[in-house]
Formats: sequence, C-alpha cells, structure tokens
Amino acid sequence: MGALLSNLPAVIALLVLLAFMAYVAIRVNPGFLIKRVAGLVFVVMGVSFITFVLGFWGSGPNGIEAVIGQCGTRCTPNILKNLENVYGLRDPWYLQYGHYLERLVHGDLGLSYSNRNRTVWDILGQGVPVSLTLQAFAIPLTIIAGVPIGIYSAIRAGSRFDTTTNSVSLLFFAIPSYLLIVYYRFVMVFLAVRNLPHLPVSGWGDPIDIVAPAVILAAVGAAFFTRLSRTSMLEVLGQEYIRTARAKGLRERVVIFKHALRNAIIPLVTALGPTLAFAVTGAFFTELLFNIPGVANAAVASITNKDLPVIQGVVIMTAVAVALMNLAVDVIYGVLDPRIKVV
Amino acid sequence: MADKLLEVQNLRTQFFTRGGVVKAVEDVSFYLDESETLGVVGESGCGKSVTALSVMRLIDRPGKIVGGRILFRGEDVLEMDEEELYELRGGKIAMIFQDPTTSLNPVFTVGNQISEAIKVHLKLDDRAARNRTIEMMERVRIPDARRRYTQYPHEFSGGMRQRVMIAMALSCNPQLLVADEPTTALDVTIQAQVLDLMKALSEEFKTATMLITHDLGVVAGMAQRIVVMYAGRVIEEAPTRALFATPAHPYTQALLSAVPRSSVPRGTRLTAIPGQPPNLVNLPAGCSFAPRCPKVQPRCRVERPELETVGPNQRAACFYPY
Repeated sequence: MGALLSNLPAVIALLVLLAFMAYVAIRVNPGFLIKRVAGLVFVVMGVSFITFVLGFWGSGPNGIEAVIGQCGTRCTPNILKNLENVYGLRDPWYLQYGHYLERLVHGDLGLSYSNRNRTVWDILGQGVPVSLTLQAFAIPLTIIAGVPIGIYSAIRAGSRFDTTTNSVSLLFFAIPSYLLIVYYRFVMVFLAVRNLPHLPVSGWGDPIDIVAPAVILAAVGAAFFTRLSRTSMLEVLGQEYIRTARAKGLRERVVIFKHALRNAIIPLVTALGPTLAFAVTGAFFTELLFNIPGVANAAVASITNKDLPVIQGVVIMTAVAVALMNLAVDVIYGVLDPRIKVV
Repeated sequence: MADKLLEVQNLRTQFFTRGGVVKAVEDVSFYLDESETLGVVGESGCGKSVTALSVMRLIDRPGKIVGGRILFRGEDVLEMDEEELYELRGGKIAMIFQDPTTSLNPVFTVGNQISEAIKVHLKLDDRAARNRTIEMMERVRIPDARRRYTQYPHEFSGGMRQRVMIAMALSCNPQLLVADEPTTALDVTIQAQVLDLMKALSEEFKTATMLITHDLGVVAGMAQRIVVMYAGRVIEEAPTRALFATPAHPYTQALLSAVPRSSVPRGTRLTAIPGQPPNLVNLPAGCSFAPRCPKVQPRCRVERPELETVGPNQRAACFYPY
C-alpha cells in the first residue's frame, strides 16, 4: 500500500490510460480499432527486429561482452559457458530472435545481460514509475504555462507582450535542456556557498527534489507549446469564420473563447500525443544530470553495458507508447473536429 | 434626410502596410433608402468589400477608417461604442460573405451557429432560439431543417451553406443586409437560385440590401440603383435602368461592353478593358481611370473630376461624360 501511495502520479496516469481505453472501446467502431491494433502488432514486430539486429551486431559477437562483464573477475570458461547457455547466446541469430519473439508474445522481455537475477520487466518496473512521476508534474506545467501564453500572445499579436514572449520562447526552445541544468547548478551552488536558501542540485526521494527537474523540463516544453499555440491561434484568427462571428454581433470574448480557441486546439493535440508518449521513456539529460533513477537512466546504463535485452525493452515500450498515443490523438481528433470521422 | 436608412459620407479607409499607405476607400459617399436594393459594382480591389466592412466597423489592423461619417438611421456608426456595435452587427446590419465554405466555423453545428446570433439579439432562450433557427432554415428552403440543424457545415453543399448564411443573416430581422459577392463562389446553376431567394426574402422581411458584386448581370435583376466604384472611389451612381441604357462614365461604358452577350456572332472576341487598375499606394494625379480611358483628354491627367449630376438621378465623376 505504501508503494502504491508513493507512486500516486504513475497510478493516476495508468487509470487515465485505462479510462481512455474503455472510452475507445465503446465509442470507436471496431473496424478502426482492429486496424489500429493490427498496426500496433506490426510496429512492435518491426521495432523488435530492427533493435535486435542492430544490437546483435552492434554489441560485439553474440552480445558476449556484456555477459563477460557480469561474469566478473572470477570468470572461468565453465561459468561463461553456463551463462551463455542461460541466455541462449550459442544459437544462431535468427534462432535467438525467434526465442525472443516467442517470449515477447508471452509478455516476457527476458533477462538483463549484466545481471541475470534481474528481468527486464523488473528494471523497467523500477524506472517507469519514477519517470512518470517526474512527467506527471512537468507535462501539466508545460501545458498550463505554454498554451495560455501562446494564445494570449496571438490575440495581442505585435504588442510588446507578444514580441517579448516570442524572444523568450525562442531562447528556451533553442537552449538544450542540459545547458539549462548546468546554469541551474551554478546558481544553486552560488546560493549554497553563501548559506542562502536553495534547491537540491540532484537526487530523488524527497518531494523537493522534483521541483527543479520538473520546472526545467516544463520550461523547454512550454517554449515549444507557446510557439505552437501562438501560430495556431494566429492562423485561426485570420479565418473568415471569425469575421462571420464578429459580424453576427458576438462579443469578442465569445469570438475568441468559443469560435477561435476550439479550432486552435486541434493542432495542439497532435503535438501533445508524442509528448505524452515519450513520458514513459523519461527525459534523458534531465534524469541523467539530476541523478533520477528513471527509465532514461536505466536506458543509458544499459547502452553503456551493452545490455541488449534492456535496450530492446525500452525501445519496444517507447514504440508501444507512441502507437497508443497516436491512436489516442486520432480518437480525440474525431471528437474535436467533426470533419474527421473515426467514431 | 430622415428617410435614409444608411448614409455614407466621404468615407476614407486606409491600410497602413510596410509598402505604404493603401488608400482602399477614398471619399466614398452613397446612401440607401429603407427596403431598397443598392448594387455596388467594380472590379477586384476597387474597395467594394472594404466599404462594406467599414459600414460594419469590421476593418482589422492594419486597416483603419480615417475619415467620413456612416449614418445608420441618423446615428453615426463611427461614433458608436463597443456595446452599440454589438447590437448593430447582426442585429441591425447583417452580412453575407463571398465564400460560404470558409465563412462557417467547421467545428460547430449549423444550428448552433445560427441560433447563437438569435440568442444574442432577440434575447430568446435555448428552446425558442432553436425553433426560430429551424423556422429560418425552412424559410431559406433547406430541406429537412429539423434534422440538418444538428449537422456540421461540411455536410452541406456550397449552395446550402450560402442558404445557411442567409438564414443566419436574416434571423434577427436586420434593416440592412450587406451581401459581399454572395454568389461568386457558387456554381452558375446555384447562383440564380440563391439570388432569387435573397430577393424574395429581402422583400418579405422588408430588408434593404447592399449587394456587392463584380457581376453586372447579378445587379441588373436585383438592384434599383447602382454605384460603380473604381480605385477606391465612386465614379458613377445611377438608377439601374439609366446606368444600363445611358452609362455616363467611360469606365461604366467599358464594363458594360465587356459583358459577354449571346447576340454577337460566334467567334467574336470578348471585349476587355486594357491595362490594370492603378496601385492604391501611389494613385496617379488626376482621374484614376485616365491611363486606361479611351476618351482621355489632357485635363484628365492633371485634375480629378468630382461626382456631378449628368442626368436625372445620375451622377458621374468625369469631365467628358457619355
């Protein structure tokens, strides 16, 4: 129960996903759904094949390097042979891939090459809730900050507010997130040295730890959403139906919040899909530099260790998330834009 | 004076662009009587649409009305505050635009879009507004109106969409309907239907109509009087019959001779007016039409002719009319 509570944001994200899937099952016609699920299977097959092939020849002969690492200093040819048998590394590549697929169908992602006592699921299961918790703060912050500023900027196009917003969002959009983190560290160290109140520079566990990474992630994301919603709203405001709405004698408030906003939101949903999908993969630089034990950190570690099964697990999980989110975007599109029929 | 529904006096609307000040409407004056249909004719870019939008105070930045008066039943539209404008737009003056496809919001049902104007201006509740909307949709002869109330614009054909726009415009009993090229985007076969409908309804509702078009054939059957515009100015104003019988301004004459006729023998080339309309940023001195005018005299190039009476109720801005 305690574990459940500490992962509350992740649990909420899961519930939202389940609710959405239930809605889709009820509202969307089965033909469309079957097509999309078939597409999903195809994507997973393709992605697993490509990662397997690339990993197989990319990580040294038969992935053996990673296993040697696990074997350690006390390694004898016997132990190594034993390990190779555990992972089936003596089989030709197509058999290995066949076995991999067979396990995948049963929902088994295999064992980690660098630690045979840990399954890939185990590693992902530890990382994903952490990454999701971080994103559960960062993404709402991104939307809450980015979209209203962009919309307001478009309404006041050409004003000082608009030009300032444009410059600031361009700046944040252009600066890589790791640079922001470096600046942030400078500031915090500066404060700490002078015994001024400051936030932690890295770590995970304390609620206060989440503030800085979430805000930095949100700043970069919000810059993107500000620009996108400004462009989208500006385009809508130039449409003739906005003039019609004004000619009808509607108040400016109604023109903007009813007629314009509803249309301007549609492209934002497209951008939100991938943003949500990549939430499960975590934010690479942010997790790494803040030392947050999320999926991205696990993924980086697995790449360093040439731990092929974990890399594959992360990639497949990402692919599934992207495919599911695209499905979600399509369904939401159908609700927002009556010209698109998926229902 | 008191019986004029709309009186536009010396209206000047300009667009402040990077390329310079575009004088889209210069010193335009005209009037409309109650229940009258006035045709405003001219080629693209002559300021017809800008005049119409100015009447509704719908000119957006970088455009601005820089001078003149627009009297609607004696009240100056240019002096109105926001609240009065909200009442004017849609309530007293309604507008129909050229392209019904882009003029309707794609994400709201047709019923929603018609009824929201009704709710604002007639102060009806949801149920009454819905009934009024369906009644209006039937009046513009949209078949099966009750069912189509909940449909979206993309489910309507072009002609049906323009009927929706007409229903929307007339739903609040406006005294003036401004129709900006209402049939230009429609198929020729649909044009006549929509024009007949507009004519019948404006007579029935006793609505005056300002019909803007580049198509002389459209105004011929609809308007009692016609105003011809060129390069942002009114160059001729006459009752329809007189304008077609005895056009005074060389531009009007050229326009009329450019109308294709079935009486000319096959193989005859269509007549066109040579040259281009002038750039509205740098208007030539003198008469704007002088560079294209077949009857141009030296005086035309240095002095601008004013609108002067040239016949019964007929005025033209030309030194050498007829």
